[in-house]
Amino acid sequence: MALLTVENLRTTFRTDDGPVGAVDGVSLSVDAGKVLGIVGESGCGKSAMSLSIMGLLPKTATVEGSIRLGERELIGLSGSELRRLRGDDMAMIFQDPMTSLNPVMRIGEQLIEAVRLHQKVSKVEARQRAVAGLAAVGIPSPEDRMRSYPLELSGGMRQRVMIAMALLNRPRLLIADEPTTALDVTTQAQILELMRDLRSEVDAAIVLITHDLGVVAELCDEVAVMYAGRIVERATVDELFAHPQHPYTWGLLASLPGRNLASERLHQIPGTPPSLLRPPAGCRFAPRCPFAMDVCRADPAPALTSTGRGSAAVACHLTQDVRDREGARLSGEEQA
Amino acid sequence: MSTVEQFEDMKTEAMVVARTPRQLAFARLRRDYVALASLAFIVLLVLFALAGPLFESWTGHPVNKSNSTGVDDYTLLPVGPLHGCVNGLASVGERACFVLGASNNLGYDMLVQLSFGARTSLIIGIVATILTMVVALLLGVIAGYVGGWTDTVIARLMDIVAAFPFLLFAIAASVAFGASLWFVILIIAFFSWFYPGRIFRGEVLSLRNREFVTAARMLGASNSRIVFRHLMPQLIGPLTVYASLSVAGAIAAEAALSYLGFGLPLEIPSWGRMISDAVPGGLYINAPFLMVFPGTLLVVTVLAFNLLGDGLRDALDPRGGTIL
Repeated sequence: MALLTVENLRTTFRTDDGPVGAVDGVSLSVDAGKVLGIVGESGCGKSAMSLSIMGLLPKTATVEGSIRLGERELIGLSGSELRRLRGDDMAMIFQDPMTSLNPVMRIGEQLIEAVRLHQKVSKVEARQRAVAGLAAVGIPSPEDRMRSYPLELSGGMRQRVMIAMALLNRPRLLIADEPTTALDVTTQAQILELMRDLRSEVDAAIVLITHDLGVVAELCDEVAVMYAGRIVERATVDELFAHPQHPYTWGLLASLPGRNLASERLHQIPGTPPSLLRPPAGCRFAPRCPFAMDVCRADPAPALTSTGRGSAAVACHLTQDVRDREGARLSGEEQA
Repeated sequence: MSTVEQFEDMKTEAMVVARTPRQLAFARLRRDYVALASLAFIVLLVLFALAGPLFESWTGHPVNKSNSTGVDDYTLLPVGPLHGCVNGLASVGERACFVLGASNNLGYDMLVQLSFGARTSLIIGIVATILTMVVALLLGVIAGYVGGWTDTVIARLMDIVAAFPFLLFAIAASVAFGASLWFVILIIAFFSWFYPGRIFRGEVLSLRNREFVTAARMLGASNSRIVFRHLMPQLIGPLTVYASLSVAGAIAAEAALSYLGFGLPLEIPSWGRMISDAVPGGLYINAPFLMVFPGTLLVVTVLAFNLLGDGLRDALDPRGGTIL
């Protein structure tokens, strides 16, 4: 039973230049205890999607489709109903721990607030839970840190605090929006290790948004590759790395720094994601795709179609043979 | 959890003490001698104002009471400082002894009038500032947080009030409604709120899109909670600064209105009216102290509140650097 089910989600921002379809018909689902990775470049609609799920978008955005948390439909809920769910049933970890804690409130106050917003417990009880939460994410001397202000902590410690805060009320759904992007590399590794430890403990459905396929390989069960507001490929992690199907995924995989490529320039996908104000007429990736055919430039990409291997699906005009051959060549290179 | 143990070990050794923004601000303020001197002056002024009844009994001259001994029999001018104090300060308490002279040609005691005038100035400065800040906070925060049409309406309202000529309007209103203590306070507050209001609006505008506000919403915090728990506390800095400046402005405005004769009723002592009392018939030419005493006190008081405000602004400025 999927904990989070998103069907045909469309998120549109009203702008002075016209509507921008940041998320354009995305469907996905995550089971409890599983981690779904969402990968893609900046501007692919990953964050817009996660904010749509949390109901945190500004009024200039309209969200259509269906988002179900368990049995409950989230779209159309009132502000106060959503508020009761946020921080309780579903929580989110933001990209930049430097700015997502209130600079003038002590860590402890912020954690206690997070508990007491949702649970009728005494201050003492809330405080104990906050201390336990800090301890659970590996923060040394949590009692002392409760009295700290955010600026007294390093980035890694602050991200731990954010994670503790998100997990305080044992959410069923946790969305992590590039939780390691703003951290330096050694800290990134620590936070990833922490998340891997927590994964098994919290038993929540986790949506991990990242542009780093390395992070995906470390943490995720399934992956959805997003491009220009749409999911172009979906597979289990093993399947994605073994049989990547979409040219965009190939590009992402090729741009990973490999062990034996130290002397070579890193691969990059030419161009940038298209403007969602006026998306290309055909397949949205066609202008950057080295395999693009006439049909790709003329007709929109087909809907996600099964590749015949488990749950994997891809939205691409290329034939299965071509995709298998090119994908195999790429993952072969990786292993060589 | 080996890393945790390592951290625990480190903790027992000397750690760098991080200081909160508040501690840093106090550290900076402690080094700002101008601001400290201003603060000291303000404290003395408050004591001076509170001591009014003591001065009354010390000099034997009640407030707002004319004394024939306060007017020179031959020149008909108010007597000067220490006039009639034959034995210096030892003769204070005798009806003829005026420590700082008389304050007008009715023979009011200058010292007593100054003290009660300080009381008036401080009350008006503080009450008008409280009103100003309440209105400014309310409208500024609402405009900044809600945005949209609400913001447009409030921002235009601020522009309109800013465009009013203060003295012209205040004098006309004073004639229409009759002057009283509350009238002066309200009219000053009415013409002061828009400036700090704009500042608060701008602060909230920039704060409301910060990530920690989204994070608070992510945790299920309501709008009122975000405003009161997360945004308001961040306004304490600008609030302190503009409150201090606003006290100075209110005191000066009251003095100006009273000088022009459109301020406080006659039974309330006011520095502004003491200065204006020196004008008729050119009294100040022969008795300059009539103008010098209240004038100096007024200028120094306004200056002290302004300098304190500047000092607070520097102390609370996050770019102010670190003091070891």
